[in-house]
Amino acid sequence: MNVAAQISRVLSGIVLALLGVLAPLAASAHKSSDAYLALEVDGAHVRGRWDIALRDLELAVGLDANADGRITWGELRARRAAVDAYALSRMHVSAAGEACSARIASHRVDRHTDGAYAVLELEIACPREAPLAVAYDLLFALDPQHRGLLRVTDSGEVAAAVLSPARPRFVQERRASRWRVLADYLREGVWHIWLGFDHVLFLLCLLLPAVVRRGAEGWQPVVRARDAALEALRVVSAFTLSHSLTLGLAALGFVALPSRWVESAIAASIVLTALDNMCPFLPARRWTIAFGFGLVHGLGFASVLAELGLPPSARALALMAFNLGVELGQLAIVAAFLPLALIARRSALYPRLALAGGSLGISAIASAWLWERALGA
Amino acid sequence: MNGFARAARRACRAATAIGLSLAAQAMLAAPYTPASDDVVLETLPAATSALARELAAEHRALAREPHDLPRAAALAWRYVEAGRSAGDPRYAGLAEGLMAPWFTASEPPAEALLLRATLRQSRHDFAGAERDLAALLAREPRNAQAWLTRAVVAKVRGDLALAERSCIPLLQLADALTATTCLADVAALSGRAGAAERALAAVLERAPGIETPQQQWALVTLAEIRERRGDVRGAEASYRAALAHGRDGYSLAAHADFLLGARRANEVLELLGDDRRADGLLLRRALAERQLRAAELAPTLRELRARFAASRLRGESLHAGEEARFMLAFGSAGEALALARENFELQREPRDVGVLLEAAIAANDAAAARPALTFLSATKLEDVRLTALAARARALR
Repeated sequence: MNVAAQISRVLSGIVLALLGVLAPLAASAHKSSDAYLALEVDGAHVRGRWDIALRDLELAVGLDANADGRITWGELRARRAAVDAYALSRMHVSAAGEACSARIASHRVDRHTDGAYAVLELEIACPREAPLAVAYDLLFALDPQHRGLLRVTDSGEVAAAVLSPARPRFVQERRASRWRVLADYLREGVWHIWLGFDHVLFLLCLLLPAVVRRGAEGWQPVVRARDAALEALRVVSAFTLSHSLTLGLAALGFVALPSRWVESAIAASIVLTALDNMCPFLPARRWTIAFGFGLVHGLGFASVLAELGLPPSARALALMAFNLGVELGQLAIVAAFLPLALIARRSALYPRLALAGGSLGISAIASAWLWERALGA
Repeated sequence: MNGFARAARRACRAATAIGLSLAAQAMLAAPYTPASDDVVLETLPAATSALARELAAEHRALAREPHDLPRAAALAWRYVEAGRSAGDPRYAGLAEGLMAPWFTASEPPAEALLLRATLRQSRHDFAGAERDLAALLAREPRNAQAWLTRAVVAKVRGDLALAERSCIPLLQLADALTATTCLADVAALSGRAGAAERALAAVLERAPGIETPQQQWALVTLAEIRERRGDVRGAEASYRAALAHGRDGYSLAAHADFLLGARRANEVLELLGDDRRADGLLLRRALAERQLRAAELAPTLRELRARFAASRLRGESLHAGEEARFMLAFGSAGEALALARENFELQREPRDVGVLLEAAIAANDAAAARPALTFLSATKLEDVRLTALAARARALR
């Protein structure tokens, strides 16, 4: 063969290859090789399911005994020992650094988009509990494009990984301890009430009039400090009760409202309460108002919690901790404000400067929020 | 792309991963125990068994020293070819496994570099393929295959100047048909479609009657040029002539797109027959069934969704351009646009420009269309369909 003909022959191959593989068009249902490995952790015992393509097993251990291009259930069963030995030599599970022992309990069959797969039922016994590590090198020597699609389920938490020759290991993250969850969500709750300026302002709006009472001659200080503190306690308790209620309902998915609506309603609740401080018009007692508007504020807390996300293994604990954090943060605000208000209540300036002036300022700020949130300006 | 967009994309990916792990759960559907030993579980592709035996022998040989590069490379090329004719990416993985001793060397030999470049571009690792080809051409400036592969990779990426520079050496190193097709393909995308068409038609006329893959490539390139110039009858004739050489995936898809554009859905189904293996062709089947409001559309869509999901599970996005077309027809404009942009970062052939424009129009997002419009005016690409789309995209605000 002369050189030109040789080049032409090789070029034919290249042109064919370009026509075929360059365009994604030709990529096909028989995708690259994948195996699906699903592990379910139950303490030191792990159950698993491993789907390996029959085409891959044919290459790795040989299944088609009579070489007729067809793989039957009988042929797969006949090669079970070889399949199991191969598979188990290519995947090693360990728990906290100590090797687990794996066996394959049974074979079944399933279909994926690119053909039939052997389904290997795994029984894995570990000397210790999680965190698990999985070392995987099925088929990598034959086909570096093979991927092990791993899913590990542990107490409702799912972790997924794509195992490849470059990243053949998966290590389970240590699960967050319950104390950790408690501390994290408690802190988040406290921070949220402190940094969520709107809740602080609403609380102040509710507390400002607690130390005074409207009489025939305008605002009068409440004579006994104890009565004023009791009024504050009533209002704060009503607010706490109602926002905890809606926080719980929303966090657990029983109630869902658009956040724009909720945020606008929160701003509106502050405006109304502040206006009511200056010229009472709301047809209800303070604690009733606190309860009613508290329902909306609870939905606001819930949207923060939704952004944080609840750990699936400790939903109730995290919710409780967050709520507790909100209450602690709120308590700190009351503890800082109430003594000052009690001291200042006898001053003639209190009704005008603190109550009316403060409420006016708060209503102005909240009106701006309402404008912003409702109109998205 | 700025940092925020990157972060947003990463967040989207993370969310997708969670969705996919749920999808994976659904895909691990219902394993069963076959009723008897005689149940046939899988039919192996005809080429597989023979190739598999040679592969096993080759892997045994590779366990011994010294390795025999020409023998391994020859088998690897046959795998590349098998992957092409079956449209099966598994073969590319096997070829890579076979060549691993050379691919992992610090300075792979020339033959290995060419193979690795071919395999890398098949996985859309275009930058990696270009690095390999540049290294190879520095060592072997007269390697025709390397020039041709580099030209096509550059064309796909939209680097038409590099593509043209890589075609030129073929005038000396390869046959006239290959060199002309390479040059005409690039020229037609750079505002010289008329001259390109004439040159290609002339060289095809002079070409001997022997059917070669080069001829099929030349014919399908000619058909595409004619289609872009609005010559419906000429394009039709060239597509049919190309397909007379063999039903290769690329020509089938290009012809199907041509027919879909003319709303000749019945002929698309006729063209595709009952081949449902290739994703790209299954997508065109779905689009045709949609035009016809056919009852078969529902199962086709289920199948396509499952395949896209399976590909994403691997963490791959080889199909972003096609998925974008899928989303345009059967999903949301937002999803289509995200995919079309992702695709355009990587590939800039006319179909990639088109899907980005269509997605931007569907999402009414003028800014998203801008890169495509800039590319069109920079390259002076002549394409009646894209010109109409570009006018609509410019009208967005």
